[in-house]
Amino acid sequence: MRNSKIKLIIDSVLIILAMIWTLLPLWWTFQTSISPEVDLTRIPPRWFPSSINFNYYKNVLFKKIGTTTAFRAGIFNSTVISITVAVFSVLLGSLAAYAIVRLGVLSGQWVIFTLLFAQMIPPVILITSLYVIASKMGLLDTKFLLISLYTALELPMAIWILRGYFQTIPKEIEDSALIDGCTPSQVLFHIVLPLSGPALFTTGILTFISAWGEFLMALVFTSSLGAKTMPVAIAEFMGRFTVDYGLMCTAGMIASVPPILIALIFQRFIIQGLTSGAVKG
Amino acid sequence: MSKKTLGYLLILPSAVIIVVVLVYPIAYSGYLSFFETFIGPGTLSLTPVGLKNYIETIKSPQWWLAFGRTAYFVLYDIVVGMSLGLGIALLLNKEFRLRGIARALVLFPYVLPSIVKALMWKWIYNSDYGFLNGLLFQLGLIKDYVPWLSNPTLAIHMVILANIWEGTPFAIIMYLAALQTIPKELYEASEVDGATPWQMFTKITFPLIKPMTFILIVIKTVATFKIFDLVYALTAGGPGGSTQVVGYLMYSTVFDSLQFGKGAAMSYILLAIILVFVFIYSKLFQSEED
Amino acid sequence: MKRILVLVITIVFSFIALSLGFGQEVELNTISGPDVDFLLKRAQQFQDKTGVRVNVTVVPYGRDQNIKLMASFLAGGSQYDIFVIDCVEVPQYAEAGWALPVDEYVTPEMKKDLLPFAGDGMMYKGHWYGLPWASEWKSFLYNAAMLEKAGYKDPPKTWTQFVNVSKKLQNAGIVKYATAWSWAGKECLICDFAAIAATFGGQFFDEAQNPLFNKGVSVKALQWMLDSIYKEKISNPASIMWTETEVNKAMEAGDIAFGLRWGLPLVPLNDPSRSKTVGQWRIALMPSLDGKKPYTVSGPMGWAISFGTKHKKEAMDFIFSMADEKGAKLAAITQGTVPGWASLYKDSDLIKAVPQLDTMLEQGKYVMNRPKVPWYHDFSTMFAVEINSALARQKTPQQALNDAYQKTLEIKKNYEARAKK
Repeated sequence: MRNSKIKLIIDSVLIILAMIWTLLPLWWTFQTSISPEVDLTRIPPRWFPSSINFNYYKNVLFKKIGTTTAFRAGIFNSTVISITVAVFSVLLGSLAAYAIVRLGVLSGQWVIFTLLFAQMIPPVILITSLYVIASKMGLLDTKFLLISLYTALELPMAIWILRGYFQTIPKEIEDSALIDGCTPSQVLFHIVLPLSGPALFTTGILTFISAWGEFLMALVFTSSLGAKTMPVAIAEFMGRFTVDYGLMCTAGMIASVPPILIALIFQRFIIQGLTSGAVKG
Repeated sequence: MSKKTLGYLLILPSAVIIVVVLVYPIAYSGYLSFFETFIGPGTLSLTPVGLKNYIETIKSPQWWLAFGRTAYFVLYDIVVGMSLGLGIALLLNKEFRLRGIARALVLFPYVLPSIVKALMWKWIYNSDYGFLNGLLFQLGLIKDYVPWLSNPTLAIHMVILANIWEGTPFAIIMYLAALQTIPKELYEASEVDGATPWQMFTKITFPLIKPMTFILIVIKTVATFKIFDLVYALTAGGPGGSTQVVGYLMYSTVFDSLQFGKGAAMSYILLAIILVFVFIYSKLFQSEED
Repeated sequence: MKRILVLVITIVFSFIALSLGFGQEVELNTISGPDVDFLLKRAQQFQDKTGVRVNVTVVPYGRDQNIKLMASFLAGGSQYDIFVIDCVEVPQYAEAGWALPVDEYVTPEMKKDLLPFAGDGMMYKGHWYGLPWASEWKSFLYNAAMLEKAGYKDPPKTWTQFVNVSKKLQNAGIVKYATAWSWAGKECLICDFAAIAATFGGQFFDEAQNPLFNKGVSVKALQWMLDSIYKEKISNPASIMWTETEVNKAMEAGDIAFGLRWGLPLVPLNDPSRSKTVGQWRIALMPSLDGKKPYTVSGPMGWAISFGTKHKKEAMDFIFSMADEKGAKLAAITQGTVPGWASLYKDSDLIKAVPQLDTMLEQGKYVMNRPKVPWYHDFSTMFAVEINSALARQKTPQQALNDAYQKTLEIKKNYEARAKK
C-alpha cells in the first residue's frame, strides 16, 4: 500500500543521510589526497577533484628526503608493535581468562570491577611515573617499551572478552574430557582454545586497532625513527606541513588503510567484541 | 599439577605485566601527589606538602572550568550522540539489501586512528580553505568564511562535533545489539492491536533499551574524561584555554608546567570520580549478566 | 605448552635485540622544531665527514622541544647531547646545571668578532652556555608589489598609517587580510606583544626584574592588537591560533601583505622552492605609535651541550661545524639564519645573497630583550595564556595584564624562596 512505499522511501533517505554523516569527512580527506594542488586553495572547494593527482602518494610512499621517511618509519614501527601487542594480548589474555573462569583464580565481584576499572584508566595518569621509571631503565624510545605498555593496557579488555566467551562454552565438554583423563592444561590447549577461534580473533583485531591508533604514550615515550609510531609521525607532519594539507591527508589515508580493511572484512568480529561489554569505546 | 597451580601459572604473565605497568605507576603517582616538584639542578627535588596539591586543585577555578567543559562535552555526547546512535541503529536494524556493508561503513569513525581523525577535522575546519566553510558558503548559509577554531565559543563546539562523530559508531553498535534482543513478536502483536510506530517506539523499544542506555551513559562519561588526542591536535586547549578539558589540563600540568605532584593529585581526583562510575557500571553489568 | 613458551620467549628476545640497536658507533641526539630540512642536510654532511651520526627528533612546535629537553635532563641528560638553546632559557638551564659551560671553547678572537647581543644572549653570570647560532630579531616586512598595486611606494611608519594602508589593500581586493600574526598562546605571542608594546613606548620589565607590562601604554598596545582583529579587521582572526610557521607560509604564499619574521627573512622568501612571492618582499623598520620607536624583540639562540652527554668532544665538534664562521655563513645563505659574527656582515658572498642587509642592521639597533630570569619558563607558560585570553576576548586587556602581573610576582617569589633553601 502507499503507506509502506512512503515508509520505504523515508527509510532509504534516512539511511543515505546516515551514511553521508559517517563518510563525508572521510570523503573530503580522501578527495584532498588525490586532488591537484590548485584545487586545495579553491574557494569554495570542489566536491570531486578536477583531475586525479597521485603526486602526494608518490611523495609519501617513495620520496627519499627526510620528511616523509619519518612517516614510513612510523608505519613500519606501528605495524611491528601492533601485531606483537595483538599476539601477546591474545596469548596471555586467553591464559588468564581461562584461569579466572575455570580454574578458580580470583573471584567474581572483584574480577569484574578490576577489569573494568583497568580499562577505564585514562593513560594520562600513568605517563609521569612511567617516564621516570622507563628512563631509569634505559628503555625510553624503544619499541620494546611501547609493546610492554600497550600489552598491559590491552590485557584487561582481552581478558574481559575472552572471559565472557569462555563462560559460553558448555562446561560438559571440558568435564567429560577431564573424566577421560586429560590434564587441565590439555583441556585448555586442545579443546577450549581451538573452540574459541572467533573470540581470539576478535580480541586480536580490537587490540590491533587500539595499538595502531594510540597516540599519547607514543608521543611521550618515543622520539627517534627507531621507535616512533605512525600517529607521532603524523603529528609531526601536522606541525611541519601545516598548510600542505594534500600531504597530510595522504598520510592520513595511508595510515587508515589497515583499520578500514579490518572494518570492512571483519566487521562481525568488531561488533561482537564491542557488544561483549568491552568498555574501550 | 593441580588446577589451582595451573591457574596461577597461567595468570602470572598477565598479572606481572599489569602490576608493573599499571599498578606500580599509579602507586608512584599517588606518592608524588603529596609532594611539590621542583626542577632543580640535575634532579627532581621533592618537597612534601601534604594535601596541598589536592586542596589547590579542588579550589582552583581552572580545574572546575575544565571539569565544566568536560561535563558539557558529556552532555552533548549523551543527548545528541546517543540519540543519533539510536536513530541509526533503528535504521540498521531493518532488513535491507546492503545492510552488511552499511554496518561495516558505520564502524569507520571508530576504527580510524585518533590522530587521523584530528587532522581530518582540522582540515575541514580550516578557516581559509576548509570544507565546512565551503559547504555552508555554497548552501548560502554564510557569507564569509568563519574561523571556526579561532573563536572561543565556536571552537569548543567544533571539537564536540568531531567527538560526537567519533563516538556515534559505538552507540550504534551497542543499541543495535540491544534492539536485536527485542523479540519481533512484541512488535507484531502491537501492530495487530493497531499501535502506531511512535507508540511502538515509546512503549516497547524505549523501555527495553533502557539498561543499554544507562550502560552507554556510564561508558561515554568515563570515555569523555579521557579525551586528549582530539584537543591536542585541533586546538591545544586554545583559543584562550576555551577547549581545555580535564584530560588535556592534566597533560598540560605535567608537561607544560612540569608540576608532577599537582598532575598526580589531579589524576587521583579523576580516578576517584571514575571509580564511582565504574562501580555503577559493574552493578549494571552484573544485573545484565544475571 | 612448551612450544608456545619457547615461541613467546623467542619473540620477546628478538624484540629486545632489535630495539637495542645494531651498531655501537657514536651517535649524537638532538631535537628540533618543524623546520628541519637544513639541519638534516648539515647532520648528513657531518656524518659523512666524521662518521658520527646525528639523530634529529622533530617536535610539532619549536618550543615544545623544551618539554622533552627538560624531561630528559631530569632523567640524567643523556637522551639529547646537543640542542639549540634560546636566550630566555639560558638563565634557567644555567642555574639548573643542565647546559654545560663552554667557556673553554670561546677564544678571545671569537669574543671580539661576536655581535654584542649575540654573545650576551649566551652568557649568564659571566659564563658561556652556548655557541651563538641564530642571533636574530623579528623584522618587519611588507610586500612591495602589493603596496604598489594599491598606490603606495613607501611602507607605513606609524601604526595609523599601517591600518590605513591595510584597509586600502583589502578594499582593493589585493588580499583578504592585510596581515597575520603568530598569536597562538605560546612564546611567539609574548615576542610579538613585547615588540608592539615597545613601539608604544612601554617597558616589559624593570631592572629588578619586576613586571611593568600592565601599565598604561602596554595595555594600549594589547588593545591595539585586539582592535586590529575585531575593530579594524585587518588581521586574520585565525592569528590567535597561529605560530610563526603559519605566518611564514602565509607570507610565502602571498596571502598577506605584512608580516613579522625572524632571521634573514628575505632568504626563504626569495627561495622559489618554497615561496610564490619571490622578489616581492622588502624589509622596513617596525612601525610605531609615533613613528619614532621602531623597536622589535630579540631572540638570540645558540647551540648548547647537555650536562649528561657521553660524547662531549663529538658534541663540541658538531656545534662548531654548525655555528662557526663557515657554518654560520652557510646557514645564513641557505636558510636565512642570522650570523652572530660581525665579520660575516662584510663578507661579499653574504652581501650578495642577502638583500637589504643594511636595513636589517639598522633595525638591529632598536632591539628589546626579554627578561633573563631563571623562572622564565613558568612565566612564559602563564603569560602566553593570559594574553591569548585577552585576544580571544575572554578578558579585557587590562584584566589579563593585571592577572598576569599578580601571577608573575608569585612565580618570582616562589622561585626566590626555593633558591634560598
